[in-house]
Amino acid sequence: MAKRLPPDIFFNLTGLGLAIYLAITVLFTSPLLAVAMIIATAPFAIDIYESVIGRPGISRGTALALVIVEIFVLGFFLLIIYNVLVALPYSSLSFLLILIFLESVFSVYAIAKDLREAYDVLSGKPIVLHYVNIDREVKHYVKEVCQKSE
Amino acid sequence: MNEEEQKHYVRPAEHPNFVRSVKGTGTSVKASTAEALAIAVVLGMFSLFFLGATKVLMAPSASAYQVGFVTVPTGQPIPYKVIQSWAFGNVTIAEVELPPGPLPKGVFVPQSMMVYLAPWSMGTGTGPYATWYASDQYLSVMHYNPMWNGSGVTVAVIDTGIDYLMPNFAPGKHLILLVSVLYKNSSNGEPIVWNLQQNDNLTALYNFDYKLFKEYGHWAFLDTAGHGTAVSSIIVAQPGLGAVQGLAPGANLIMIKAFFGNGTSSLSYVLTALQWVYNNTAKYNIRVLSLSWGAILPPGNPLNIAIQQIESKGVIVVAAAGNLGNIPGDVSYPAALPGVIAVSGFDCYTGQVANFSSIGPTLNLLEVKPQFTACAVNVPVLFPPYIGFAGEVRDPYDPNVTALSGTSFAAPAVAAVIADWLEYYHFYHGAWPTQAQLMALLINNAQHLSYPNDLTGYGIPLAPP
Repeated sequence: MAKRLPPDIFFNLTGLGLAIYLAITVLFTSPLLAVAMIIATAPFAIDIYESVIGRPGISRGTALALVIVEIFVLGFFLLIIYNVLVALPYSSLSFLLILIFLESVFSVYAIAKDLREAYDVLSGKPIVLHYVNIDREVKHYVKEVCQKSE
Repeated sequence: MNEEEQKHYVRPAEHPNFVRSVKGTGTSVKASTAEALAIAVVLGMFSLFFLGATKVLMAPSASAYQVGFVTVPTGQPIPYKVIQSWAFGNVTIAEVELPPGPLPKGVFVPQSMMVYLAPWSMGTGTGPYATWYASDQYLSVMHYNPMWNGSGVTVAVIDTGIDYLMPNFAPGKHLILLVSVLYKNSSNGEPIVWNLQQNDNLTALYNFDYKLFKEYGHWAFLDTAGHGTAVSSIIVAQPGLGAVQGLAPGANLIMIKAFFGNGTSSLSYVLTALQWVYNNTAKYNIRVLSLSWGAILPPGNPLNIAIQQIESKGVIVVAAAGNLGNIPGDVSYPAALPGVIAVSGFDCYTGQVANFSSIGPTLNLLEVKPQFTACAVNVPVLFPPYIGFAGEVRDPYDPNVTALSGTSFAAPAVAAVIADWLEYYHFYHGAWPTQAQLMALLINNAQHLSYPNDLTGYGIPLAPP
């Protein structure tokens, strides 16, 4: 099974699961973090969708909306990473804080990837569609990249 | 309060009706099919969970009206039935009855009317007594200099009252005023006040307080939780009268009782207390307001508006960040409010942020929050001798002293250091500093633990040299 699925899926599933878990865990103590975690589920969910089914084209409006929301969330997660790193000698590093830190790193990666793709759309570059086919015969996956001009 | 006033003073302020209501929220996302599907699945799961849970737990009955808060310019008519209102200069906050049905725009309906003291705990007492029972801990950590002790500065504290029978607070000299919003003066509707500078007969005060307790079930001024006494001792406990000394023993203290013995209050009581501070800032020269409590509320809540109005009068507001744990973004209001100096908890024995302390960031990502940190673990404090807890540890040499943990006890330490700095600044400049000038002083003289961050802020603020 592991060989048949792209490794991205495991990264994204971990990110998604952790985001949902943390959103529920901190809902009543830190609504701000819970909202950030709920928003952070979107890039992971989209990536999973893309990995399994394929990537659809997105409109410029959608890309812009994604950029606006995700830049704020990106800033929030970068701030968490900065805070934990800077205050490391003084932090008692609870298990929850370590999980939040890890999820922040995952989210920054996923959001940065999304932002790069959104930038491509906004800057009018040709839309690149990724199709992932699972070749059941040879037990590994093949990624086909089809370029389509505007 | 004289005898004549006592005769017709009082009716107990009533508990407001706690009507729970559910404020619906909607999310609309425009996206392409795949994204919309993914987002819809995730949001749908959450919506189902939350709506299901809230519907079961918080559904109001069909006939119940909702209680909400509206903020209007003073003098403007309020289009709802007003239960109670508070004027803060050009802004009036009103608690109103809303008819059943959809929620009108501009009305704040809290999920809960309750305001809590940040949950606090007794000291563990596991270490050698010598490590905690002397207040030398925070006096030395904050570089207290007896030359600057907050003289001429009045610090107001909104809390659970105070054990005014303790001589450590110097009633009449440094503990100058007791205010209670739990009772109202029937002649003018104002909170009742006992001015200890005019009448420092503690027996009369106690008898008066006891009479209210017997009649209505709540002490007006006496602290039956211990929290207010502990907080006050960090500010103003007098030197030479026991193991605990405050960081600003020369300051004047006003205790405004707005919390019941179980550590809870409501937005209405707290707003009444804040209004009293707003109205009496000039009269009593209130320069610092110390708040060791909080609530998880949305940013546009009436508490924030009231505190902004108080700040506009030049009062420095210091608040405990909260004890919800090291979870980013869990600083509670009013500490999370821009302009309020939020204080996180630090373990001065281990040199680490206390694991219960709330930390930033807040919605305003660019603001360092909490701004400062101070001792909050096993802090030696005065505690009423008539309150006992299972497992409590008292100083064997001073039964009025125990050790408590919580950011509640870090905030007053910073408030006291601010009082010292205010005295310092006023001595050299003949004027009070603005909030920006004071922040610059505090930051420049803080013990920086690392780069500014949302766990330790700018570090531990040190007292004037």
